[in-house]
Amino acid sequence: MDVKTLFDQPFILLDGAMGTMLQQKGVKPGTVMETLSITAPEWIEDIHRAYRAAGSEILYANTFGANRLKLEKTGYSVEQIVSASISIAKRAADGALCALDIGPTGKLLEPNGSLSFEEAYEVFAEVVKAGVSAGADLIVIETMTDLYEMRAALLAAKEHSTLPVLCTMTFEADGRTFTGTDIRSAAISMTALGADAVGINCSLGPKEAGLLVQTMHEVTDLPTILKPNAGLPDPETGAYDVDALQFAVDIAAAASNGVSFIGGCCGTTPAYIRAVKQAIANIKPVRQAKKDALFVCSATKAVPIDRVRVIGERINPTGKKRFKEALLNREIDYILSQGLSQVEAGADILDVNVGLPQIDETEMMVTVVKALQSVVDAPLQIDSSSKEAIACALRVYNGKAIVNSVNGDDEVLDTVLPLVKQYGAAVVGLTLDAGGIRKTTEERFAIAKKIVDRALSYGIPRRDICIDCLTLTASAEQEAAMETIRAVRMVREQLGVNAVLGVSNISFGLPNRPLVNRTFLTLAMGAGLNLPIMNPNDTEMMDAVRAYAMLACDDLHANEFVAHYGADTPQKKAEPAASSTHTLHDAVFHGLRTEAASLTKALLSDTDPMTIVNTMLIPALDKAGALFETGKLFLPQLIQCAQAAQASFGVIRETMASQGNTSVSKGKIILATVKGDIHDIGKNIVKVLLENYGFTVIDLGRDVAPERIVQTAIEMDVPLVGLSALMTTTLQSMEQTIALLKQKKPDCVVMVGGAVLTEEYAQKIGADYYSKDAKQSVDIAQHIFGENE
Amino acid sequence: MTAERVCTRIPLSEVMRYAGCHGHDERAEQMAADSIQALSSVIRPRVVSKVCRVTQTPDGCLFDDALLIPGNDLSALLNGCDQAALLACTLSAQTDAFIRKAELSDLSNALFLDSCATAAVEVVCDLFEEELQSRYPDMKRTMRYSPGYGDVPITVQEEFLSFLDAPRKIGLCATASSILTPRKSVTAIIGLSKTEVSHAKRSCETCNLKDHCQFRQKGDFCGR
Repeated sequence: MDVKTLFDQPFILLDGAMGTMLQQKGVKPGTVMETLSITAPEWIEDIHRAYRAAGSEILYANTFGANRLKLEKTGYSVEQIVSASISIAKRAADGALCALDIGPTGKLLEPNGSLSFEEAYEVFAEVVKAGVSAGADLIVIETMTDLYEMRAALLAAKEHSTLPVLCTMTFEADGRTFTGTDIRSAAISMTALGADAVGINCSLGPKEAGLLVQTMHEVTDLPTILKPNAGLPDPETGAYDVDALQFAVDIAAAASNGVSFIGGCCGTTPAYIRAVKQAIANIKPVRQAKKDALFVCSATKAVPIDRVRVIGERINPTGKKRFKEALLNREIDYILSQGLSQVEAGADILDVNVGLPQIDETEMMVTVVKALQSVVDAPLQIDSSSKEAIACALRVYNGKAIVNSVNGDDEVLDTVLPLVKQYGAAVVGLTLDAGGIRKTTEERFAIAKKIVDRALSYGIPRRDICIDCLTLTASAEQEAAMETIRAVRMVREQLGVNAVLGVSNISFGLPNRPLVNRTFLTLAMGAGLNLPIMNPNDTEMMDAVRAYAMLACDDLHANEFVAHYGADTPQKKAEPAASSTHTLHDAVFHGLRTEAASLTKALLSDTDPMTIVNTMLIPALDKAGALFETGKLFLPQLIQCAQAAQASFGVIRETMASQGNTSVSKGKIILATVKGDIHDIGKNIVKVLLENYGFTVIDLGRDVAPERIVQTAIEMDVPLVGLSALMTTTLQSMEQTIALLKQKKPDCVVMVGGAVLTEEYAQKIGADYYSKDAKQSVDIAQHIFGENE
Repeated sequence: MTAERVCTRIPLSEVMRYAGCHGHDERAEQMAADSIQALSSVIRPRVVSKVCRVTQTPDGCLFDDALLIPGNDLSALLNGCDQAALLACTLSAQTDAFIRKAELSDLSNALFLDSCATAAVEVVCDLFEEELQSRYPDMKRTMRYSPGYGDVPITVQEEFLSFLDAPRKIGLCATASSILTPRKSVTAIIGLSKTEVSHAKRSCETCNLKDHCQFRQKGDFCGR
């Protein structure tokens, strides 16, 4: 039977457990099961035959762990194992299809582990190529608990084969995977990347997993898969607690609720599959209903665009000097804090624009997307005009993103839309083209229609299209405001797509901008705007969004509205600086961040920034540092002082940047946790202290290759490098980094720190300084840069 | 094992100590207490374990005839033990993510959360030992011994995890440098003996860090 014919059947019977069957044959735990395809092929063939005889129509070849990371110590190559395993399955197939089975690598991906997305992709690509040349009929990717790893495998499958791909992940009873991915986000992401069916395997018993898989039906049009365990294992004996008959009853229930691919995982045997086959014989299949709502998601949060959802606009250098400075200095933490504060203020989605002529936008976009998705759960909107930046961002983004943007220009459409389709993203279309912005609603609508038609022709579903009818400045073109509102209504009603709109432009050049913005936003929402791009930190704008949601019955029973405003009137402003009883020195010393910031703001009106730094901030830090050294102050308190100083510095830098001054730095220092090591809290403590003594810290993060550290040191001419390692196993890579630095940039000084290091060992591996704690790293830096001498 | 149960058992003094506070400070204690509270809705304690037969061989200890762990110190520890419990546990990736996020907004808070999570994973081990005690009431237990202690190479982590099927069962993996990921995780071996054991408590004697341990220099001890 070919794949197409099989997939047209109402139900497709998969196989059951391989591992369970092998354990019954006496295979020891910890054995790399895939090697049995070479050492005991008859066992594997027996198992396949038994499942085929029980009715399985797809046999999962014994390739689950046949990747180079797991096979490393076995002496076998991926190709050997995959081709042997597929041939065995084919020998036993008897008309069934043979699937290349792909399981997890056994390593955690970034940011939880140290395997990069790109490396994982390469690992899977190798397996896929081997599977294709061995003649697999289809690919199954299963038992994934990390959506990022699933994406790497699915991309590898799509890009190195034309075979159908079935994707299943493993969830806990709370509906999340070990890494926190929820069921909807999993289904949305796998659907977006082009899976042919999606579902759940392993995890739980058939009843619990059967209920969880229903959630997938809410967000995907694809057929679903259920391949659960035979219940839960007994902690003592490892025996599973659901028998074949009960298993079949529960599976049949799921089948009658719309699941079409069914089989078993751990604890199941051919007897289970036989029972399932009988149980589904008379069940009427259910077709998945078409889904019309757009869903976007991160790895841990799905956002249905079924009401007004706010897209935060603050990650964007346009008109923001401080943000530009952050991009130029690679202050990723500053960019992340912009993301966090918007999410806290209520942004549902974050727009990410890091385009600046002086920097490599693609590289920065990838860095920022990876960093953002490791700390915020709001889905992202990739905002760029560079095809390369969009492609690379979509590739590494762990979820379903929106691309901002295309327009009516044919060249743009035919360049960007294929990428949108490839990665299953949603897309924003601006209603302008090579001819510029059109004045009338009808002209803009015509462009909108062209964009929608072109997107549809590329196979992008209508629900994934968002049209931006463009906000013009009311002070310049007053009549255009209502034209935009009219266009929004037409696009929503006649094209049935989403409407996105950056609203703040409307008030440019007018007094009382907040009032104009809010009124325009309200009008636009009334006309159908569901994706405003705005500043969520502007409380009045958020007030309008919440009030609209309540009036439009999106916020049923006004629950959210009452929860937000039901208590007393919200506090308007932080306490004014004038009421503070502390001096800036004291505020910093006592670690009072808000107070330090507001005192600094007040001081800046009549005090020179460097005077503030040198006579107030640094003496306070020195005092705290001295007390820390004598054990009278503890590390957390020292960090609090540093953070208060940081808040003060933040205000100073903001002011200096807005006055066009470049900030004064006492010198550049690179900090990095060495290759192979992923501990970084200690390094981050050192960083905050150094920054507050006026040094510019180039933080390369953790698990950093020696070459990257050396290259950065040379390119940015950095005289001091601080390296951190916390494991005996990674001291070696610290030594390699030092050796390479000394060879390529001999004038560069190296200081090292970390729990397993000692003064003697630091010397032995060629470091110039050993820093026993964060405070000492400041002393070393001051010494190197010629202070305090 | 629920998060609440683990968090109620975290000793405040341990959190303070891991955070580098070697004395009394009200504000720091409040932060430590807050971090315990915060973690109680974040951590997802997961445990996988197996009680195995132990065979002493010239190359090290062999568990259930399948997993060989070298090291004279481990052989000495398990001397007289017919069985041993192999344990792997983790607070899960969400805990790491939570601390990572806290680092961006308040590093001192993140330091307390990190310290608190370190203390929490020890509590998970303690609770496991209590269960072990009730399952084997007549057996004496050795101290918990982890890969990386004494002369037991830390590079056995991957095999150890794979023996317990830990990547699949609890999502716990080891990196190429043998670092456990998620970060707040422990692997350990606990010997079970019908007779008295000589290494029932942890001590500094077998520790690789004893000569330059910061706790020891302050007259303190990293364990309890």
